[in-house]
Amino acid sequence: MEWILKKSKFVVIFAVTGLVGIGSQALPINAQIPKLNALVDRSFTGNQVNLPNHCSGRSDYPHKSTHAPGRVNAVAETVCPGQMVEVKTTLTRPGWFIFTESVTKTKSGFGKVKISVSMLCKWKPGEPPIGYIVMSVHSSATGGRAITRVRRFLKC
Amino acid sequence: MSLVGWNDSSLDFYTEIDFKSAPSWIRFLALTPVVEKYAYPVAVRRGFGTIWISRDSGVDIDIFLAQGWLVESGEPDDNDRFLSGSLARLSIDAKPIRKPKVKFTRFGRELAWRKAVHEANGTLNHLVKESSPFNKNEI
Repeated sequence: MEWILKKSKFVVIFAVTGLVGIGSQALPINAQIPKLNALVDRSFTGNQVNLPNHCSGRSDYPHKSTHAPGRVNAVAETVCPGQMVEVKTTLTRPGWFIFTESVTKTKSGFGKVKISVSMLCKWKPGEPPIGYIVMSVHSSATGGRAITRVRRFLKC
Repeated sequence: MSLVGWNDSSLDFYTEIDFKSAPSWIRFLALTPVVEKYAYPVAVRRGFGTIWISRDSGVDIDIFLAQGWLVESGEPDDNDRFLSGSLARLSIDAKPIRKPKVKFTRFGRELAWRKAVHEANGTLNHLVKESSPFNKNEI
């Protein structure tokens, strides 16, 4: 009886060892878990990062807001599929010395990010149109960068 | 005094005066402080001004055609936007923008800023050649 118990113990130990061995071959302990970075769309040539051709930034023309009457509105966007992107945009109403007014906003997101900035209109009847300037800095996680700027005269 | 292309009501739409294609004396006038504003109506009358009118706008385009404007609907395409500096490709070679020197005319300031933006983005050669990396219907 004792012999049988001893033998079954050996059988169990042998079976457990075998299973661990097979398991460790299938998934080594130091196996690399796929990182989130692997999802980033980029290719390497030497030390340089090749930006996808479709990464772009744009600043749209400032216009009178239809949602909020009495305000001037401007939209800027950065597009770079598969990457973290950021846009920082400033809407400026130029003026003498300290009288320049501006609003700056920053937004980041994945693939495509769009931002809207606005400020109160200041134009009065009889005055010449006011030139509003939109300037944006677009950037991506892989180090891509661009600047866009647009100016438009509005009675606003 | 209201001057076409300079401060008249049509500026509520997007306008662009192509001084580059205009005779050199008009360009010179546009780059001369104080009298620069007179270059704009002259350029428009001679067909160097383009006005973009939104598609949902109900304005009578004949008013603009009579003034000499070239009328387009919608907004400038991506090639025009790229050259004017409002659209750009992201590049790892881009540099921080250098504020241009003080200019005393509207056209002078616009040219200087355009150059500064393209210099920062590394696309100055495109501006010189007036070429664009954007295809018309790409974006």
